[in-house]
Amino acid sequence: MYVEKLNPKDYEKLYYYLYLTRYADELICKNYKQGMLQESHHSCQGEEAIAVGSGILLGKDDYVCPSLRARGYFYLKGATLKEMMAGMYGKVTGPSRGKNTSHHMGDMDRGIVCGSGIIGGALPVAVGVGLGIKKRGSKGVVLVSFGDGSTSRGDFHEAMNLAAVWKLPVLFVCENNRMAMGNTIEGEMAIDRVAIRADAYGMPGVTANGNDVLAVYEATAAAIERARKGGGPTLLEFTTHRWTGHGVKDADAYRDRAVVESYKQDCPLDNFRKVLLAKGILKKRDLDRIEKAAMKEVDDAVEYAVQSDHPPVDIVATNVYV
Amino acid sequence: MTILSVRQAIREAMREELLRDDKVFLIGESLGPYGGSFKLTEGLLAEFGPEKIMDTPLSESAIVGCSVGAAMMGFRPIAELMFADFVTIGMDQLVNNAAKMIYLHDGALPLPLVLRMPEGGGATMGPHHSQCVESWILNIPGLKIVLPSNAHDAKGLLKSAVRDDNPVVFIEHKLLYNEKGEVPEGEYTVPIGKAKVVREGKDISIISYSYMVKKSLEAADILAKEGIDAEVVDVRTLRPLDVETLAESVRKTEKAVIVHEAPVTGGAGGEIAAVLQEAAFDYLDAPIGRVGALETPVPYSYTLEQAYLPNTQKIVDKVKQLVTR
Amino acid sequence: MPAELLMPRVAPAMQDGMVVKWLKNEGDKVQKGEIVVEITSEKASCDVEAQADGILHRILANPGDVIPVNKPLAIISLAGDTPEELAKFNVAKPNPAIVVDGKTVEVVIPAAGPADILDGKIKASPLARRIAAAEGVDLALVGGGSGPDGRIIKKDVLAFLAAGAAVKGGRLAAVPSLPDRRIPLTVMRRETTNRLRLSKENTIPVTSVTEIDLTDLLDLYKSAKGVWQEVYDVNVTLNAFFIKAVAVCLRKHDLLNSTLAGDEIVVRGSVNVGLAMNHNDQLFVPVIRNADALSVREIAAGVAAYVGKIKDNKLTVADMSDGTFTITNVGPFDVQFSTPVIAYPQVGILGIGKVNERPVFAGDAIVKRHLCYFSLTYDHRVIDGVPAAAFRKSLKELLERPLSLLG
Repeated sequence: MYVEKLNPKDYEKLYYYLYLTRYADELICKNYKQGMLQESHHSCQGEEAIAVGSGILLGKDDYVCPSLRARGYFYLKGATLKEMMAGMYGKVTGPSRGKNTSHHMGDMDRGIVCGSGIIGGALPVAVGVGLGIKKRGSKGVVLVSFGDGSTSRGDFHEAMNLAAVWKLPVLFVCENNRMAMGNTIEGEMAIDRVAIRADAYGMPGVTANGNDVLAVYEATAAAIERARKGGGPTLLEFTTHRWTGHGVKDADAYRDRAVVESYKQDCPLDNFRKVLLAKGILKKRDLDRIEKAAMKEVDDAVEYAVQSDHPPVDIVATNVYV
Repeated sequence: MTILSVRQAIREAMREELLRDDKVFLIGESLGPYGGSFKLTEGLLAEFGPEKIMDTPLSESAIVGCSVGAAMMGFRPIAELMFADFVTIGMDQLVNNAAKMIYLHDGALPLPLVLRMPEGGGATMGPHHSQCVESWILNIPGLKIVLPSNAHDAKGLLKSAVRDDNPVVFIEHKLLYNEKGEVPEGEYTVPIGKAKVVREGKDISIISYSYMVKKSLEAADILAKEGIDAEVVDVRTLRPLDVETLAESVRKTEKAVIVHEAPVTGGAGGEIAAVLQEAAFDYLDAPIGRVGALETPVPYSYTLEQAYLPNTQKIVDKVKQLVTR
Repeated sequence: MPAELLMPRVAPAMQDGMVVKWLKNEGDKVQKGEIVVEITSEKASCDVEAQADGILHRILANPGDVIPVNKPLAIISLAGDTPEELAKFNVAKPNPAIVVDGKTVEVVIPAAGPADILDGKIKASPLARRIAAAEGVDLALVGGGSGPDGRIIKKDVLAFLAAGAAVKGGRLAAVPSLPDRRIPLTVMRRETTNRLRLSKENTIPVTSVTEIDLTDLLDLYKSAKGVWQEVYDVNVTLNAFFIKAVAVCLRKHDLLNSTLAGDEIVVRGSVNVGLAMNHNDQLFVPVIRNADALSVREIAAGVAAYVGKIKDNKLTVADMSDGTFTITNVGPFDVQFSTPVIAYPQVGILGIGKVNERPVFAGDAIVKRHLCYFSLTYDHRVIDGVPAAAFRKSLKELLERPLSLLG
């Protein structure tokens, strides 16, 4: 059991990033609706445990390519709240001075692989990063995160197959919220679990509760260890629910409100709080302290973003080539 | 000087770059024991091993995407597509990842990637293995596009492409592979972004690239016997386009015809004509002409395919329309 | 069913009219009573209105085209017209027609040659324009170019400059050019232009000149003029005598009173002599029908009536139709002799020059006589030199013994 090795500081860190992700998301949604942001936001509320529970395992030689809904990875891999938030506001202090969105930002120095607005399009690139890791002889891994919708794309097949054939250190992390924009999983695939697809490529497929941050941690840790030892890729499926519409402009009118509300009874933050308090790992006042610190980081970031300048027009045609 | 075919010249370029830089590797379908669909990589597996000559499944999207990822990691992949037609399957990776990656990093990340592909008709290979794809790619900022017409340029341009920190689409014409030409012994490169006047003339500029340079030179020989002194310019690089060399030629001859194998509509010729009329409007003594393939899929059967393709006579006819004696 | 917009008859004698200006384009909506096109005829100008609500589907005549009365100018599509019905009217614009011998004959006009002006703009390459601008050359003066479709290209401008240099020994002086003046063709001018062009294209004209002594005719004319005016109220002119003489000769040498129709020569039954007249710089050719059967006095009355009509602007197309031969008297304009153009499809025309006082031998004596050159232009395809000479000989005999004309 990998979770047994977690110390109180690790738990604090997990809770800090879970709370920070949730609070930042709520603030982003609120400010977007007030017309203050430019970037089209895809809320991760209710799904925070997947990015936080897996992302916390990534070291400096590891890479992550987050999906559009997996914010925690960025924060855990060193993208600051300030630059991410400035990106949401379309400011020059955001990623690539406003040339890229924050949810696709890339910075290879910090191990963040630029994403693609084409669902599934990042998977072959992540395989290439995995190839690079292998060629370097590094013990690193690359984690590529995507939703259940991506698994219908041809790129999912090509990437999974090639990574398996070449035994590359790639973690395919599927955040299965059972929705592909407006389509339900029954309309997406004739199977109930994405993980069983792994069989067809000759790699392990694991399904775990994505709303239990420790379950996510446990499954990811095993897959990482396997990859570091040269065992090749793993398909990790974390089940969860989407609490909001697809994007911030989506009123989500096509779903039963009662069902969506019921998802909130399975809140990854609440789930983790109960464990922490029940086991006496953290006290209520510890949680309050952590929440306050997270809120300050987010609030400071929003202030920074608001105060930042818009990109100067004269940079628009720069750096198309190096 | 030594005489090499275009195939040998490209293979030499790859071999020399593999030897020169440990970051370079080849990736594509059946490159190793098979030696590549047109035998471009024959013998390289034995010399460099499977770590450097990497055979992939039939996964063009993964080939391009994986090359992008490896280039982001600091490697310099030379990816091969069996046929340029197959770029459609890798197009998302090429357009949405390769072409944009540098800009999305605001120039902080180089993307040294070469995507080689053989294009063109004339070998009765049918509609899915004969197309010319350069203009499909020409509308995508972020990709350099190189189309050599001879062994010397093929080697020198490919070496430049491998050393370029930007993604380069390197389009070879399959009918050129056996064309022989003089190649310097030892190290040399040909710069990307420089067109070349391959035949001097004063009456009209025939502007072409890839296999059609050969046809344009043949046309110039025929025209010379009829008293028309045609200049032939090899574009060599569609992006960046060497507008100044092309415009200088047109300012001299005052007339231009653009020749490529792709269909005329939406072809690179339209773009070249547009920049030329901007750069040399007051020097033009005739409309800019274009010669290209018919507006049909590439037909399979020899007679149909030959009717479809531009050829020496079609170039001669177009020139005579534009040059009044 | 689509409706045809017809060339209206706006005057009783009107046979055709010319399109002046379209006020609507193809595809425009038109309402009943709305003016669609302006036309003009020698009688009158008028606006043509749409006779129904619809869409101007197809224009069949361009400005300048002469269209017979009751022939369609345009097609108006009405609500409910099917594409099939409309497709029937997708026809090419008709060629202009001329009336020959009472029958309408379609004329095929050859395609225009190299044009240097396109939609009012001079066709020239950018390079030619730049050189012309730098050298102060007016491209309109360069004329048709040698490039495709008559485009002026560099070498045309250089040739123009070289020609200028040769004349002036240096660069063309930058003399500002006055703008061209454009005169729209009147119906009559257009008709004249067409007929001259038809003659040029369809005849092989030869002109030969005979000198005739009109001294006796002038004496007769002077004595008859006053008497006929007083007694018959007829203003006789010399032309009446010429018409009579010519008519008599035409009856005798009737090949000159013929027309060439395909592979046969049609010798015309009537001798109808046209007389060219000028009024206000316009040419009119009224026809004296059956002139051989009329007396000089009757002919004179007919000519006088035509002169009146011309002055009153009442001459009709019918008055000028059916001529079989034409006389043009250019003597009053101080012309010695002319080479007149045959009024196709006629085969002959007689030009009469100025009457000159000349010393002439009468035996060994020199006497003053009034001499005049008569030029006969004839279509050599129909008439050879000998019959033409015979005609002139007969004419000379009649005019030099003028009393015979009063028989």
